[in-house]
Amino acid sequence: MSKYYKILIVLNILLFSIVVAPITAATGYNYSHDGRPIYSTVGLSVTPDGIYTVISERWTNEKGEKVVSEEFTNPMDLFIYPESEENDVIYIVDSASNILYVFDSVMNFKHKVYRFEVRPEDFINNTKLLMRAKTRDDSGSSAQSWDFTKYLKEEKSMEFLDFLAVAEIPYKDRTEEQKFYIQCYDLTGVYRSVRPARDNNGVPIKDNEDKPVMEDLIYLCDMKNNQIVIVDAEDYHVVQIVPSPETVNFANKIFMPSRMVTDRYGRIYVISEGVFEGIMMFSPAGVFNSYMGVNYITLSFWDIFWRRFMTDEQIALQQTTVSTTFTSLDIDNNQFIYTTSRAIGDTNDTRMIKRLNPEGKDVLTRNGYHDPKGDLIYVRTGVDQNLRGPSRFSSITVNNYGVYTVADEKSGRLFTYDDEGNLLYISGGRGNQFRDLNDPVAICYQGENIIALDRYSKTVLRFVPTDIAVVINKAVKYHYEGNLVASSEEWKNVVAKNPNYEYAYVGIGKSLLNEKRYQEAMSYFQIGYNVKYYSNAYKLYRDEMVAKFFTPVFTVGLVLILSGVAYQTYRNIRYKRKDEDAGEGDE
Amino acid sequence: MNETIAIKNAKVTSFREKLKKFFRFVFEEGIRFPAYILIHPLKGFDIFKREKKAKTSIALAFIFILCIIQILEVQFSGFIVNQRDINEINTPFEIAYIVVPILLFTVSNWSATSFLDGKGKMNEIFMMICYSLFPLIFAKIFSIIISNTIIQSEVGLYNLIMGLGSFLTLYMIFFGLISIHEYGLLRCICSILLTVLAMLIVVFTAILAYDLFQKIYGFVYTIYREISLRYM
Repeated sequence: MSKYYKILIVLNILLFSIVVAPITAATGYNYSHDGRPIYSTVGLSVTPDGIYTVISERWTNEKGEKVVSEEFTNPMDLFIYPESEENDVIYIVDSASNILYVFDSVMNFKHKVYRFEVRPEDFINNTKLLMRAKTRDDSGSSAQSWDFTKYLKEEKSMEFLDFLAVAEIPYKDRTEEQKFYIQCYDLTGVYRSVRPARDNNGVPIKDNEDKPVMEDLIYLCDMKNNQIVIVDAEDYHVVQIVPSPETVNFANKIFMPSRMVTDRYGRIYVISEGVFEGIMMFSPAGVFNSYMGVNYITLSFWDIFWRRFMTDEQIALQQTTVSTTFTSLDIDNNQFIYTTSRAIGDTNDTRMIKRLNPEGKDVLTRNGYHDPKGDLIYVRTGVDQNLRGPSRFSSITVNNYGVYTVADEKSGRLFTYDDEGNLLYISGGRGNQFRDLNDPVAICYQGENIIALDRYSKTVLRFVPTDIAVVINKAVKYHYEGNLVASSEEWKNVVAKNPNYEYAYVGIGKSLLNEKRYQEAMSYFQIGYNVKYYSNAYKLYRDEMVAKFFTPVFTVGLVLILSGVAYQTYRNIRYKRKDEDAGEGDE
Repeated sequence: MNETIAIKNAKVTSFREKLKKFFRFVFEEGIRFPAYILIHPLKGFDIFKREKKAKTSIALAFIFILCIIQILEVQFSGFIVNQRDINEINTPFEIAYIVVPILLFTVSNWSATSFLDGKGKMNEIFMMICYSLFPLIFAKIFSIIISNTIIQSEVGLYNLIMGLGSFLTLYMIFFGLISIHEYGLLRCICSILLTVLAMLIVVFTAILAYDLFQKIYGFVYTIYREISLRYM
């Protein structure tokens, strides 16, 4: 008997060892076709080695310099620039200490830039200097923005002509007294890109092989100095300043750039705080051209109706209905600008994410089950401003196959959509641990990963796709490239991992539709709740059926009718004659 | 022996005749007469009321058929017009969706028209509404079939059929009210507005009563818990 007991004990242990296998997969949620939240795995998760803070060893460089926590109190923006195929440079700006931090692709700290040198030879043609600088006295609130000429006078006791005269001296021979620096004041945005270099007349410079010479530049949004500082990407000296525009269409407004991107021609698109007209577009030379992509507000019938009966005091007391400003922007490979903005008046949440074409029109594809707008279910009433209302997007990032992710600062979540506007997965979320995302101010795609900057915990998080997200990304990528068969295979893998992933069925159906297997495609579209594609498949199926059965059915019908008519005619002729005969007989 | 055979034969013929009679009854009363009312609403409802041609059995049958068709509709309508999850269809709820408004309208209309010198009895109002469901039943049957053969751009056809059915039903109810209560046009419209008001009052009272019962239930349940925790 004891032998059996032993076997039983061993079996038990084996059984328990299977059951106790750790299951630590994070459970997230997604939205079903009818807008209900359903359980789903998260799409992107933070691995333990993907958390970077001031205490991590990576943030000390070889020289012993490190990111000090006192100088990293209010990080505002993060930008990833692919310097070569495998090497990225990551820039982070801090708006309190106004420092530009430079990291390599795995977040090893390289160096930081406090101030940016101004070389007189770059400004020799300017009649007056429009740049501004922060006063050296940077003790908190007493700091202020001042003119560069004033800076010259106060700090260096120089006139403008003296400054230009320094250009004559070779750079190596200049003393410290002959070097000039500007410090940013509220550094809120960073961007880096190349643009065709131009000479003083604005003509693109070409090299010997007739290729345009490109200049590699870092753009800095210097908010309280009301300017954009463009510095060289190598040695950080100031190349150009985009000052506050002085044209008629910018009268009585303050230029406070917070985020910006450039397109491949070097045109600069800027979000300026307090400017409701849209995104400001500057020429590469720094001349303000126009606004684009206005967030129009519309008053409903009832709003207009009630406003007619209101007194001026009541209207003044009412919450002002103004257009919302944009909160962030990104540009994709096809030079379309993706933007996020707040919902208009707490309720109109359908156009928070936009894709602007060069004309400024919103061309975002919204073919998903719902409009891309973050959380579908949210608290609509209540006093707590932090809880009420739809998602508040703080950042958007696009990857190279049309997938875009938005960061919601209200819930700390990342929502990822594909190029057709389908919600792919939701990740992140608030919490008390370092890996939680509490106040994402900036996110950026690095390949398949997302690097997120959390202002609340002052951390940089690397979000890595989970097993299912890897497959979803592959499927979306194949679909974007037009390879429906490979895409369908990947969607099948997604369904194997998560049968509740409704959009995957549509993906499989599309491939079946392409293979002319209409009936199967229809059943997949029905599971995936896609009426449009179901209709397309059914139309083709119906055409096929009609083509197949029309001739036989019509022929048989025709023969039957004709024979019926013939029989009737025959009867008529035959019996009519008899009747006639009989009639004659009666008479 | 011969007698029994004769009786048997008589029985058979009588059954056959009964069946024949039944179908004739169904055709005459269930299809021809409602169709006649649909085409000549004032005259039809006059016959309906004066000659007492309306049959309760037919009226109940119409409601029963409409309930069944309603269930068939949520179950078998094509995917293009009906994306409801089949697991979430609640049959009693679908039946209530048909029956409750009819009963509510009947009661409200009767109470409203008794103010306005309406000549109709409650029974007549009820049967009039049931007879008016006649076009809706046919429209629904037809639209279930149509919905399985259309694509998305042809949904307008489906909507047209459904809209026509609903419109004809409302049209019949309207003329039915005029005929049954012996009203003029203006008075009929007034009575309809009053009926809507009465319906709202009834619904409000029902919700109030429901809430009250819930509160009483909560009270009793609290006492039960209190006692059970203290003494049991």
